[in-house]
Parts: sequence; structure tokens; C-alpha cells
Amino acid sequence: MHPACCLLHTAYRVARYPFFAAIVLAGVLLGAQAPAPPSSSAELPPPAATSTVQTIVIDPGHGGDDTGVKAADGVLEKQLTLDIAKRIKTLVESRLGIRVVLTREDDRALPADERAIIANNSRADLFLSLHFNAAPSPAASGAQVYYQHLDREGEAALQATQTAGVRMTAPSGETRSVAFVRWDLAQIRHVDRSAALAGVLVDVLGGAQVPMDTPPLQQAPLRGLASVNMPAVLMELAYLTNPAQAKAATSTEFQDAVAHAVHDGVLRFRGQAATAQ
Amino acid sequence: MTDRRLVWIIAGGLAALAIAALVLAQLLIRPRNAAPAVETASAAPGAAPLAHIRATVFYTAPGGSRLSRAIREIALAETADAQGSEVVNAALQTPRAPLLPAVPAGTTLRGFYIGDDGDAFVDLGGDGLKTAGGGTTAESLAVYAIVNTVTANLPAVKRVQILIDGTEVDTLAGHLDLRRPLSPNMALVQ
Repeated sequence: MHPACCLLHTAYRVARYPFFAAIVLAGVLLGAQAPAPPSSSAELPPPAATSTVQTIVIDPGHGGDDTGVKAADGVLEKQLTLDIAKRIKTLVESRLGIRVVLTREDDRALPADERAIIANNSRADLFLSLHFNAAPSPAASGAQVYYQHLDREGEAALQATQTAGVRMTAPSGETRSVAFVRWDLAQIRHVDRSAALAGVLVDVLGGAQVPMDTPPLQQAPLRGLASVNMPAVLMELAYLTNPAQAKAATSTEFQDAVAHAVHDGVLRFRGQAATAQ
Repeated sequence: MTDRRLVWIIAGGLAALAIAALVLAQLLIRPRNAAPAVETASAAPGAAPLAHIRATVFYTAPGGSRLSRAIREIALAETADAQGSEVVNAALQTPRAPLLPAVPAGTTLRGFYIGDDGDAFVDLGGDGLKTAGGGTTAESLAVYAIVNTVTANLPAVKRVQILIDGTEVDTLAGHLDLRRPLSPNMALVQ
């Protein structure tokens, strides 16, 4: 695509998505001392696998008027996700010294884009969205961990970010190759690491005796992850349509098990990233 | 043996033969009228007999977290759009046990059409979707029951976009991204 077309396309997306917030994710200075000719295509590196996880975002699903799943005994998904998010924050901050940002700290409605903005503006390293599940049958049981599914459009956009940058001149005179990533496809550059994070969390949840669904690792085109610019997963921790699971989900034992599993998962993921470097 | 007794014996034998013939006739005719694995979509009373086709329709499997295929007889329509409406309506109906509905009860089909690029648009309405509880699994089952059913029966359609009350929506209940057309998800099928 011609750079001008790319910019126009981006401008169109800016107009279409009101929350389009500065999605210049990969402005990379390429050969500052010897700039590549403008006609050459500049390949952008993949997102760096940071060995230090300094900030994580925990996203308690739903809130306010959006109650999420309501169990037969009246337990609400929005309350459970907030309770567990606070437990995770306390545990991870105190034991690992990692900053934990909650997308909401009380009972308020929060659109998906605002959750993504909080995460992206926090310059966080990981994003974990907490949810509880529902199914047409009370027999459904167990936790699932989802990462983002790339559709045809996502695959094409990913390829475009890897091969096509727009060369721009900074006020200092430096020439930069800048890749524009659409707001609604920001997650695409992180899907591989999101899959790795999801796999780690499946392991640690199972290890913490949290009952798991079959299969526990899932992929779906998730609205809440689409615009998150970091490795991101959505965890469905139990089925509130299963009376036994709904009862267990309110217990201290279950909520502590989830919090410890997330703590262990962050630790293991950080170790994997360091090894990969 | 008296003549009268002989007449009774012959009459009884004839009656037994008649009953046996009737039972045999029932057994021979039945397989053509009732295939046990196929459900027939109900036709309007008094309507003229229609040509039918066998459609693959997806419902929730008994375990509650996966989809399962069923074969249903639906009316053969004259256009692809009309055929699409038939298959989506079949997916919205309650299946025979042990299968479970995937789309919330009370959901209705407002329209179905196929765009120039081959993507199908399914416009849903009704109170069922508004009262759906949510959960990624429940939402995935509802969405992919429709997407998989449409693409399984209309080979020219590769992707399906779901609209609610005629407009594009973000999600059904906060999870699955419905802003773009979706491809079928066979990983969800057991």
C-alpha cells in the first residue's frame, strides 16, 4: 500500500473510532546515522519480550449496570471479579513488588475501549481480564483462559505492520519508520506472547487445584482484548450457571487459589521472557 | 367337529391373516416416512407440500460448553437469501433432547442477506438477546451456532456478520467481538 493511502486509511479509522488514541506503536529509529533510502521497505521488529514485568493490569469484568452473569443464588459476576482482582493486587504488589493497576476499583460500568486505554496508558507489561462464565447447561464446569483470535483482517494488518512502515521526519531531522496499527487491532502484534501467557496461566490454575474446563486453553475474537497493546488474556474462572461452582466461587479458598495462581503465573512468565532473551 | 365350529375356526384364521398383513405393511412403509435422526421443521397448517432439503444445524451439546451438529429437514427456498433465512430459523428453534438451544429463547430473525463480497448478514432481534446472561461460552455458542450453520449450508458464504435490530453491535453480552464478519469456528464443535 502506498504510504499516503496508509495514512488516509488511518485517518479514516481515527474518524470512525472515537477512542482512537495514538496507536503509533512501533516508531522505530532505523539507521539514524545512515538512514535507509526512502524507497526501501523497513521491516519493523516484533514487540520486545521484556525480561522485567514491572506493571500488570487486572481488569475486573463488567460493573455498574452491567452485572455480568447472575448465579441462581444471586451472586453477581461483577462483584466476584472485583473481589478477586483486589486479592491479586494485594498479593502481587506485596510479594513481587510489581505495580498492579485495576481498571476499576469499585462498582462502575466501564466500556471495553476505556479499559484498553487505562492499560495502554499505564504502559503495562501484561493485561489480565477476569470473568465468570455461563452456559446453557448447569453441567458445564471449569476455568478457561482465552487469548485473541486473529481473523482474516487481523492477519492482513499484522503482515502490514511487519512489512510496511511510513517514513516520517522528526523535528530533529531524524528519519523514522513508523507503523500505524489500527486501534481495533492493537492486540495483533502480541498474539504469540498472549498465547504463551495463556498457556502458563492454564498450568498454574490447574496446579492450584482450580477445576479446569476441557479444553482449558481457548482462542476467540474478544472485544475486550482487541485494543490492548500488550500480552493479554481473558480468564473465565468458573461457571456461575453451575450451582456448585457458583457456591465455590464465593469462598476464600477459591479466590485465594486464583490469586496465588496469577502470582505464580506472572513469576513464571517473567522467567520465560528472561530466558527467551 | 360341527359345521358351526369349522366356520368359527376359518373366520379366526382369516382375521389373524388380516392383522399380520396390516402389521407387515406398517413395517414396510415406516422407514420411508420417518428417519429417526432427522427433525422436520414444522410447516404452516394447510400449506401446500414443500420440497425439503437436509440442513446441518448447530446446537449446544449435552455437556453445555460445545456445539453439536444435527440434521434437520428444512424447506427448499428459491433464493440464497431465503435459504439462509430457513437455516438460521432452524438454528433458533429448540432442538430435540439431549441437545440444547444455543441461541437464547425469544431471539428472532429480522432479516438475512448476502453482500456483494460473499459475507452474509444475519439481523437478529427479540427479547432473548437482551436478557442473555453473558459469559464467553454462552456467547460463543450462540454466535457460532449461527455462523457455523450458515456457512455449513451455504458454501458460497465464508463469513457471517451478526446485526442486532438492524445495526452493527460490539458484542452480544460483552465478550465476542461482533464488529466484523466472523469465520466458522469448528474448534467449538465436539
